[in-house]
Amino acid sequence: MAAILSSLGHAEAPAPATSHRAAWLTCATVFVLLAVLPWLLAPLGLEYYLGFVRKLLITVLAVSALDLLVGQAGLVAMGQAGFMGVGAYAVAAGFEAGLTSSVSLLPLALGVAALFAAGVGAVAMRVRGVYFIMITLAFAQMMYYLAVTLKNFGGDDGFNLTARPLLPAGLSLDDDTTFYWLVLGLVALSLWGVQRVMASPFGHVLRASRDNEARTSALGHSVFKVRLLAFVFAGALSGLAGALMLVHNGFVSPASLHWSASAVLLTMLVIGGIGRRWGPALGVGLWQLLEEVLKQGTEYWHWPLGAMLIVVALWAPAGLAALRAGSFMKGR
Amino acid sequence: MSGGLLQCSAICGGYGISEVLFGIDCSIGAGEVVGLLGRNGMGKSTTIKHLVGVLRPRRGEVVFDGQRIDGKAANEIARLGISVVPEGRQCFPNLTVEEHLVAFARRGAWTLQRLYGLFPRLKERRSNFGNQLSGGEQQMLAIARALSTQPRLLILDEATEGLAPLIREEIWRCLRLLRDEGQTTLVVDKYVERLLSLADRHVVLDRGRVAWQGSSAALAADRALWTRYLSV
Amino acid sequence: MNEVLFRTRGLRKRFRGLVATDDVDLALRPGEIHALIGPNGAGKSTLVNLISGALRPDAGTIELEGRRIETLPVHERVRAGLSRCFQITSIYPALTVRDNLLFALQGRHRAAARPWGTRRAAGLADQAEALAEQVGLQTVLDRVAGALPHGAQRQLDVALALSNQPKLLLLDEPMAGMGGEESERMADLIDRLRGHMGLLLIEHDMAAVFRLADRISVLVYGRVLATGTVQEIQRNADVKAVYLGEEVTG
Repeated sequence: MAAILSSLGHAEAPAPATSHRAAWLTCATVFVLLAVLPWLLAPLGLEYYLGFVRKLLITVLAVSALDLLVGQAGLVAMGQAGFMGVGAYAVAAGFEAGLTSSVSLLPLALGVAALFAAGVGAVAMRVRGVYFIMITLAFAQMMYYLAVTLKNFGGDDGFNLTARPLLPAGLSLDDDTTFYWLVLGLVALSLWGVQRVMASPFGHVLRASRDNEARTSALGHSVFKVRLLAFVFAGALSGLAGALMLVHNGFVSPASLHWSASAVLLTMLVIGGIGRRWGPALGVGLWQLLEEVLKQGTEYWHWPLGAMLIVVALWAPAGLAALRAGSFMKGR
Repeated sequence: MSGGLLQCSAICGGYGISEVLFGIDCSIGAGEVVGLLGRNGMGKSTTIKHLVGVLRPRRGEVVFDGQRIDGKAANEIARLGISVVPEGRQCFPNLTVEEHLVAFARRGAWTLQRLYGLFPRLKERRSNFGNQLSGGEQQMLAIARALSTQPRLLILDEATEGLAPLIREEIWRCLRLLRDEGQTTLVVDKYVERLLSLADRHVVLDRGRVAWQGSSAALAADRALWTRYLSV
Repeated sequence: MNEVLFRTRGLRKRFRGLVATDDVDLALRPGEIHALIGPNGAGKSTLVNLISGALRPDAGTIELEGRRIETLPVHERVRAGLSRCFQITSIYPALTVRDNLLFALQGRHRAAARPWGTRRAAGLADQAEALAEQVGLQTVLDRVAGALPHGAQRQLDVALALSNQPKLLLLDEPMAGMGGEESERMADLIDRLRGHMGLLLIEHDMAAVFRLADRISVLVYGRVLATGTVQEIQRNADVKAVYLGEEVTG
């Protein structure tokens, strides 16, 4: 499995200095564009799309967390939506308990999701390949059913967030634009964090364990420990994404934790490109765009998305991000 | 040696990028029994894999009955009449003894009756599954299975490995019988004394090359050769 | 404690009725090249895996410099000073030779797996070049490892194993799959390591074994049949008999 993954999208540490600088420039440009987006959209009367971009950013965070596992660690995890749900329900629980500040609610989401991920990871890391996928899927389903039993949070019907969390300095997330900037800031910070961690010695060990587990152990590293830490990190970020999604939607239900939700995340990642810097963004972007456009036209909007996945699998297996790099059909 | 049933010339090959064989030349005449000797790791099993099509030679030719077979698929080569009794026997755990002998059988001299005659023990165990047999019985089954395909060339890779002395004797007895019937055979084994009385000629491999070739008499006479290539 | 660098006592491993390792006692002296030979099915792979930690023994002990290691997992045995090369070359084929070595050397430092900073630790680059020179790969540092010829890849495998400056190095069939010249180079490499660390060499290539080994242990059906110098083993009638398939009496 690791061999398949590493041939599909070879995520490496930072590339040589020149392309590194170019990448930095691109990221900075994109960030600035996103930051000023509200001011660009307002005069055009397109504020609706702010919500679209906000949702996209939150999903990119979730898919990036997944890519950390799939692309960098070589672990195909089928339960990340479960951790998103954990983060959301943690915020719900905190909210019901009287916590109203983002400063307490968001870290709560991170912490609870990390805890769940530690528990799942401790079990899942003991197995490999297909069994790992099955165990993560099984745990996600357990979390799904757990959410269904939470009558206090609406059970199957889900939980409605009656008010958005507060921000310090009197700012309110009720203002869509403020919330948008919070999301942008948190997502950018998280992605930067992921990038730094993956460029660190830890990241090297993680990729090495993906490429050759036996040799990595034989060089003195505890592969179990390194993978577990990555799993917890990814879980925490997924929890954050789930919490932000709850605030964005105003609503969360057990359906968000269903394994099919995890499958959608994985599909977006595959379409965009595993292990590629812009993979998550391209995959989420294309998916959400098509969904938005097609939903208006037909109720069978899943068909074209499925067809797209087939096209990618057959002709661009390394994902859309790889096409840009000119490595059509190959995974480099 | 023209007129041989099987000839291989200058075979080079290995696994992936590793090189194990560096130019193997050998030939087997119809009706001959040839012993393939050498310490383990020297390329005996690898040579066999190149002969039967499991591996493709990087260089060199294998000619069987006038036809080039190097590069052909293993099942094509098997259909041409080369049958191998593999190292480790490889009996199927989900087929009975009788099913083994019937599933791959072709019409010819080796009928089911005759095979049971050669190995009465197998007849007793005809409805046992492949993994319910002892090591010796599995070995007999593997040989019988190969014979059921009416092979023109029979290859045995370590056919007495890991077997008790009494069973080994039975196998050797059976191989002598086959030789007397005129079965062309290539035998890989480490029991030099036994091979001397069974085979006509011997090929000794050392580090992927043919170190020595000659008759049984010549091999028996040159004990220094044994120390150099077969022992320590 | 200087007499014995590494020792196994009564090592035993059984797989479903097959005794793969049967009461094995081995002892290595510091700086010695100790070869492990044996006919087909002797159990050499199992023994190597027991020593490296890939398998746990059913019984027996393993000591490195007096310290018991048989309960330690693989990566902790490595930290204790044991290193291995693999029978099937085990490197990082997608990385350059340099990056392979840098990664291996990264493990030497305490902050080997810290999740921040970069890898530009002090002197890693120089150490990588020195390590490459030690195994003879200094001319191919920037080539992708997977594109190297087989012999060079095996040299890299050895380099990776040397990166943690081991006290005991397990060499699992280092000559496998190599022709004359490459074999010679590998034998020279191993020869140069003599005296710097203990080496346990598993090989079939008798010429190499006789050239390199200080002492030899012969493994037959999981048991140590004999241990001795090259001459002693060559003169040992039981060893000859075992290779030729004759019954061993006594």
